[in-house]
Amino acid sequence: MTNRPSARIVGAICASCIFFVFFFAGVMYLSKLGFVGNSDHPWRASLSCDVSGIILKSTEITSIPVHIENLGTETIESTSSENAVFLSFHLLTHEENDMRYDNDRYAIPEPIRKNQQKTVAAVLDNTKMKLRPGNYIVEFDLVKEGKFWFSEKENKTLKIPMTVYGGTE
Amino acid sequence: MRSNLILELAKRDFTERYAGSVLGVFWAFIWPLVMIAIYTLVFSRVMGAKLPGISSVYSYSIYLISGLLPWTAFTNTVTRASTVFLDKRHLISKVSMPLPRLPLYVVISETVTFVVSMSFYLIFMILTGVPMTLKLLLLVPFVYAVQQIFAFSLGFLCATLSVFIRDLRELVNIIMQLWFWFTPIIYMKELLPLFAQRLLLLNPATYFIDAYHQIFFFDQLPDFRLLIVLTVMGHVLLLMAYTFFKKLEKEVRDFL
Repeated sequence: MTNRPSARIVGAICASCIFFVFFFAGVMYLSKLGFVGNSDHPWRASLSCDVSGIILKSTEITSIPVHIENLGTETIESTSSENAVFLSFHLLTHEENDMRYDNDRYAIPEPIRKNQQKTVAAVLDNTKMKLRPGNYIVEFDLVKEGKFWFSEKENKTLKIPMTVYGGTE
Repeated sequence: MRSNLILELAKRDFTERYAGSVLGVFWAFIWPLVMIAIYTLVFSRVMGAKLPGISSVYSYSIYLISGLLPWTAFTNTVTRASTVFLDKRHLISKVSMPLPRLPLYVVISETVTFVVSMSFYLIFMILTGVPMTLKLLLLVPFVYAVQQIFAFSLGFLCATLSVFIRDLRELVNIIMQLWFWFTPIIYMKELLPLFAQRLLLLNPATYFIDAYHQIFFFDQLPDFRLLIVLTVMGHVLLLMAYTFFKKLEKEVRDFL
């Protein structure tokens, strides 16, 4: 019996590590090329934003850039189409209870094709929303008007905490 | 130790667990069915639990079970492998065997349970009409393999230590309980504040649990960067555990 690790076993561990790293990296690369993934679903989209929180004066209007990536097979049509999809949001309390489900719609300026990403500016206008000072959550979602919300198709929404301060309505 | 012995130990481990019972190994099939039924009934029907932004009645059950089944395999592998030298000392003293391979029988035994549980879970998903992509399901064995390499390494390291520190057995159980609550299995990490979400990235279990959630629940590709990190972590830990064991092998055998 020797205290030295067996070269065969060390080699096997390294080989296993290399195999799995290359496997995952390979699949990641193929997914970027569109060969693998969940592209079988027509309505699949990912919402993201560079902003982690919104601070809004009670009389202020602010614009939040929301990135929409189309991960499904269908094109997310812009306002010019009958099948237009809009960016919208649900307003929640800071405890995540529903407060106002239907809010402004934001037009998508041009169609977003499969694997494409576009950014839409969501304008939050508190002169219209008339929110009292406090903490809220803005939950961005896509809506195919009159048909469905994307969250109903098991897509993730994008939640951003929002603080309103200043005078009340 | 020949691979036959490992397989024999795994087979015995599986059958001995249900030895003497009327239904025998069928209990291994009944347990996941009961678990799926309970979580569906309690969370979907009674509590009406839904996840934010997702409308399906079964969404919480699907989310929960997709994390719970791999976690059960992971935690059982770590806790059982961490006492494997003590549990099998009668065998070690009689048969000459390379000890590093001994925890493998735990991994195999837990894998059988995982496969059975997952099969029922997939049937449940089909019955509830949850969308699934076959190409994504093909990734599950690879995610599971990396998860179990990590579990094996951790269990192996603890197995060596527990020969000298007998309290480690209980300590591992407590740590695994705490670890469970620090892993987004029963809650969504998106619901946590941003700093807590960042903290979760320090937890390697989050990497594979998130991968299962992405595959089964969101029907999306997992984050491969996290899986690559987990792969490297698991293998480095394995190398460390093996080197540590080799340094102490003589003492381990003497203590046993």
